[in-house]
Amino acid sequence: MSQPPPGSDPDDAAPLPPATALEGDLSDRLPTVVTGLSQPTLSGTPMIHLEGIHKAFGSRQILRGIELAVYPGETVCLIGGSGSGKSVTLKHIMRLIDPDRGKVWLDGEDITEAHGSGLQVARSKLGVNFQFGALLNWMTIFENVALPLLENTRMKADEIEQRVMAKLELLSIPHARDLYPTQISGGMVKRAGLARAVVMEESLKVILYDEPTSGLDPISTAVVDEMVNEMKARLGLTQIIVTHDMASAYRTADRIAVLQEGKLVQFGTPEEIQNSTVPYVKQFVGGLSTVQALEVRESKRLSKSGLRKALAADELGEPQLGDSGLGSVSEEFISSDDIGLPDVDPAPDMVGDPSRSERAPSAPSTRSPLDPGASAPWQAASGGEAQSPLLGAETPQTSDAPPAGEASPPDTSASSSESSQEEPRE
Amino acid sequence: MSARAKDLFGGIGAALVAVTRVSGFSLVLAFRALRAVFHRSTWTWRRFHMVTAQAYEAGIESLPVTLVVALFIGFLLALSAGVELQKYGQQAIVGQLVAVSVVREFGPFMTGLILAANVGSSMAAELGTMKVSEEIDALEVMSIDPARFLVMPRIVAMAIMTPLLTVFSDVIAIIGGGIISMTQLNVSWPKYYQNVLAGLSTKGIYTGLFKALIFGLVIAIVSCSEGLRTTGGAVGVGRATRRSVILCYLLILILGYFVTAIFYGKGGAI
Repeated sequence: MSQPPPGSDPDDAAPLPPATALEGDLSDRLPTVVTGLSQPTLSGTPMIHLEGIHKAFGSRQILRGIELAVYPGETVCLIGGSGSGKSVTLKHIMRLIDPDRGKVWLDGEDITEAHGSGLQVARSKLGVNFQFGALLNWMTIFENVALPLLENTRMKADEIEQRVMAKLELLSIPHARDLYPTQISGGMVKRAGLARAVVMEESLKVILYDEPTSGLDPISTAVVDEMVNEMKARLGLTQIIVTHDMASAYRTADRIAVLQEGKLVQFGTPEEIQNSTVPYVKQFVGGLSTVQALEVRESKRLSKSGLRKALAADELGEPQLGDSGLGSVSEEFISSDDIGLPDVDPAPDMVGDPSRSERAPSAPSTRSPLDPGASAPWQAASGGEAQSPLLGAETPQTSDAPPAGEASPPDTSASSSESSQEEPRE
Repeated sequence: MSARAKDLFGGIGAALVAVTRVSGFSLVLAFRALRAVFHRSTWTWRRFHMVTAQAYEAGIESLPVTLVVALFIGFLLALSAGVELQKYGQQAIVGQLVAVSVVREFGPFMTGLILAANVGSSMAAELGTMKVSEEIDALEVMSIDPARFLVMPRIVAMAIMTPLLTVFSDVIAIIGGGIISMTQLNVSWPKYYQNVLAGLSTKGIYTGLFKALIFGLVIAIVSCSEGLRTTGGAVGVGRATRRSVILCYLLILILGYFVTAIFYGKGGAI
């Protein structure tokens, strides 16, 4: 899904993929179904546009000319090693950090200099799911989710209650409403954080996720990924996900942006990233041995201190050098088989299904997620009393599914989006 | 200019910049929080509840330790002054001395120090933890001003509770002085009480309470400011907490002197 030239006809965009549905025992707690995943239209005005962003903290240059355009309805994953500038990029979009140079555009408006009510309006379009949820520990889950409504609107108490419960039900945690964040699991905290992020739905257009799957077990990771897809399917939101987890990125992203030392080294579809010829991307995606990784680094003429840092990071198991778990993407990939789900069509994004563009669009969900009676698809599948096979899965098994790369033949035409040969603007 | 001189001037300049930055941040924070106090939309039941919760934490939970310290301050003042006055047969005026020094100086000073250690450190640690766990960022992204949501209730609570606690500690310290006067200085309670009343003046009382108000505001503003400026994880929270206590102590001493100077200093009588 290479970015089309500006001004191309929106009707030329790829058609919608079909709905995928999971059958069998479904949970009333864990999301397992994604319906109505739609293809974003990669033309017109980007929802988020970072234009030549430079940022330094002291003498340390973090971002070196980031150029990124994310279109309405698109899900983009930002990946890269620790310290590559992913979270800083995200904080520029939230306007928690001001760039040294460059501009931040949100929904067609330059928000680089926005302040006061202008900034408030811009931020009202954003929902953010922070890495550890960022819930206030002295408030219950209900109070946390209701907080933006209580502080920023004049809604009545019963309306707020209705709205918050709809969001908690959407994310399968209505039973946690009176619990405190310290009393629930990490995965539930992340879901509660997401419920809070989407509760201001009138103005919401974008959700930003900061490492939504970090620290989660494989099943919880799969659940969070489904949750991300769910947000897209039901609310049609633009999403940016910062992650280290390639399997998760393949499951959720329309496009993946790879950052290295503050530069965008490649921005393309999951297939393009999987078949990348850029050494760093290959290393990150496919996993190279430490020696190979160092050779790659040497070839890029890194300083001695850079190599020392890389070695230290490798010893600590950080992902820069590619052999710390990120290398086995195809093994990590959790298919429905892995977790005991019945056979279904996997999401086309996950396997790079070449027939994807020929599939008929699915009917979008017509029920409002606000409707308290509206149940999540995994609940709807069995009359709201569904139970997830995820719950029945005792332990995740090694995937029998073919590697994503095998399922999706390389699309040579897509390699044009690789930008490794281009020096980012300084 | 030699390299050493350059380093010296550079260091001084960097320190001045840092002090200016910290002061500026704290003043802007205080301005935003105080502006919220006078904003009508601020005062919902929920906010009122937050203020009372903070007031309970700052006032009621600090009351026992404040009273114990106040009692012993009263003992100390009466004993050390009374023994000296006894040499001249003037131990009867110990009540006057205790009343003046406690109400004008020791009451607010001691209450301020206790609150800085007890409540200020807790505020800095709480907000610092919220900062490093991105809760403050989350509030900002939700367009919830941390100055209004977190700092304002703390400032209001401290502005109310510090003078109140000071009144309690003044009374207990004076009672402590009376106990020592009766048991060790052979001064009867009525005589001691008469001397206390003679030593108290309206100006002394409002000077002491004004000091307490200033100390309460300073503790809340400095502690919240240090908390919100925290960086660097758990270590940063520890540093912020320590910094807030040290800064509060210094400011309580310095401002205490200036308030006294304004009210009682040469040419500064208000």
